[in-house]
Amino acid sequence: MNVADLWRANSVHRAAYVDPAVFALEQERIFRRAWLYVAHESEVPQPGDYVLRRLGPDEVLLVRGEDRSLALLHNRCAHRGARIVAQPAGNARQFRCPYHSWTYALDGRLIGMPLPEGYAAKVELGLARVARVDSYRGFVFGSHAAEGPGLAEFLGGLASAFDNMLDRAPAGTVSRFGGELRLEYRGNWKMFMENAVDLVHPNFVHRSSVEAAREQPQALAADGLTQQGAQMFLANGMRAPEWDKVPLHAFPGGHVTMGGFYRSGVIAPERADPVYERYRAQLVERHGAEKAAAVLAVDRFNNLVWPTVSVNSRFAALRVVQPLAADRTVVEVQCFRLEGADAAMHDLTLQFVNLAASPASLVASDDLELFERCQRGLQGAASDWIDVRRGALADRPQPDGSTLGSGTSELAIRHQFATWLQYVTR
Amino acid sequence: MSLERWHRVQQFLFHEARLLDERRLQEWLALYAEDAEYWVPYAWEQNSPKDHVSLFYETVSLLRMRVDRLERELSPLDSPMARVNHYLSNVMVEEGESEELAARAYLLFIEHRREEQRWFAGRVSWRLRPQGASFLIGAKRVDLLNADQDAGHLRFAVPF
Repeated sequence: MNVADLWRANSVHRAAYVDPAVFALEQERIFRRAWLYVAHESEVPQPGDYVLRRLGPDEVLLVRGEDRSLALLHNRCAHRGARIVAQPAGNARQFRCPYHSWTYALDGRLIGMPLPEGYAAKVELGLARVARVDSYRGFVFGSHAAEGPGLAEFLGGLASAFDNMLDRAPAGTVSRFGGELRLEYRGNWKMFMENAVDLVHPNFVHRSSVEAAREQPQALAADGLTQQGAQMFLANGMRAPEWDKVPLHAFPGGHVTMGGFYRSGVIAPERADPVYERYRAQLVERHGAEKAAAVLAVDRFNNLVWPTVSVNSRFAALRVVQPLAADRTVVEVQCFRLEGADAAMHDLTLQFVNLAASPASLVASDDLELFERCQRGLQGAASDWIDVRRGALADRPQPDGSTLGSGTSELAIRHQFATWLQYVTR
Repeated sequence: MSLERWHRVQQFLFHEARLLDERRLQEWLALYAEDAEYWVPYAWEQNSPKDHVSLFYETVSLLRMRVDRLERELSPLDSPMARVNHYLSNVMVEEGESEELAARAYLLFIEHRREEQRWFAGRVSWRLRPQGASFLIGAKRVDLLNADQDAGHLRFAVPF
């Protein structure tokens, strides 16, 4: 079957999720082209600092050089191909392959090897550099394609998600902290990106935690951690008319935002508690009252940067999807410190991530279960086509090329597949 | 510490394990003090739940929601219900300056879920408050040997 035939306006062929040949094509045509998130600059502050990450199909090192510039290098010896670094992060003066001791500078240049006299001429190999690396205000992305739109153009309307996270920091900067949660599921990577903007599922998939939280109304008035959990679980119990007020906004490039979430006052009511009041005062000091109010009023829950990043500016968290196979995906969940804010604000971020996204989370564990059930179900050929037309008649194209839809629409899935088709067919 | 007291602590820990294995989850919760903390770190030798993500970091109220959710049998994760065994060994108990006791044990957790049987190993520590002839759990910490692995597979219904 031709890959162009897998998507028809309102339905998708199950091969897009289960066929290893389609996955291989995605790796070449999406993950070797698009800008993919690598790391935040604060993870490599000093010369010699490095982090080991996945960039689509390959393992890469983001390295801070002696001159403080950033290099994005393939973690693969230029000699026999061994993986050089096995630590997730560290500081190095140079990288030495443990196999035959080929040695590389922080920028990937070959600076040493045994038996150079065995070669007729000086060996000019080095660690391969990723074609493009760029940073959007500290958030580092890489692209395996030498050509294509620049990072700012690629992010388009979604750059605002990073802007808003930075604007929420009283000192104007953020830094990574708190390690990283990694969730693995036996399902296709697209399921995560679709589910993150599917507002019909919470009422059903998360019913067990919604009802459990309803049993304990006093939890809403309890200490920070209990209260935050209760709010989060209860929010999933909103009914369709309420979810409809959470607009989906689809931007060119496959990106989608989901807004109006906090305005409902369910998940994060702007309480008059001392922690929040102090934080608000700090933001007013930085931005002035008017802009501080505007920054805090941005209430988009998930901001999806297609193909693999979900930004939560409000709780300063990122989720990064790493496709490993047609039926295997890892989601990395990362926290950011809003510099200049009190430790109590960082607690909220860490608690948010633990409660919402840990593999043991009452919420995430049921989502992952459903991805695995879909993957399992789609192996069967009961029907080849998956219908995603709900809400299509109510899509509202905007003058800027974006499209608005209501929270219960399948607009986001249609939009992601339209972009997917553009990538995989050329 | 007297042999008898050590024996009582050990029996208490075995009792907790049994309540989990038999899904007597309300009785299990009743073993916890209202201000207890249940913590499963996500990093090896993690210092604090406040500076690093955790697998679980929960108050008793949150544990109650966890138990309530399992008892409603609405969670797709837990359908059909997983069967689990908690094996505890190497139990050691220390008396401190306060009334609380510190207990430690090794844990082997075996879960049968659908067509899969999985096992996890870890080290458990408890703070125990004497209450009559028994105890209340003031804190429980479970350090899994593979806490920092790609941990989606750590999804499970019944706590450790």
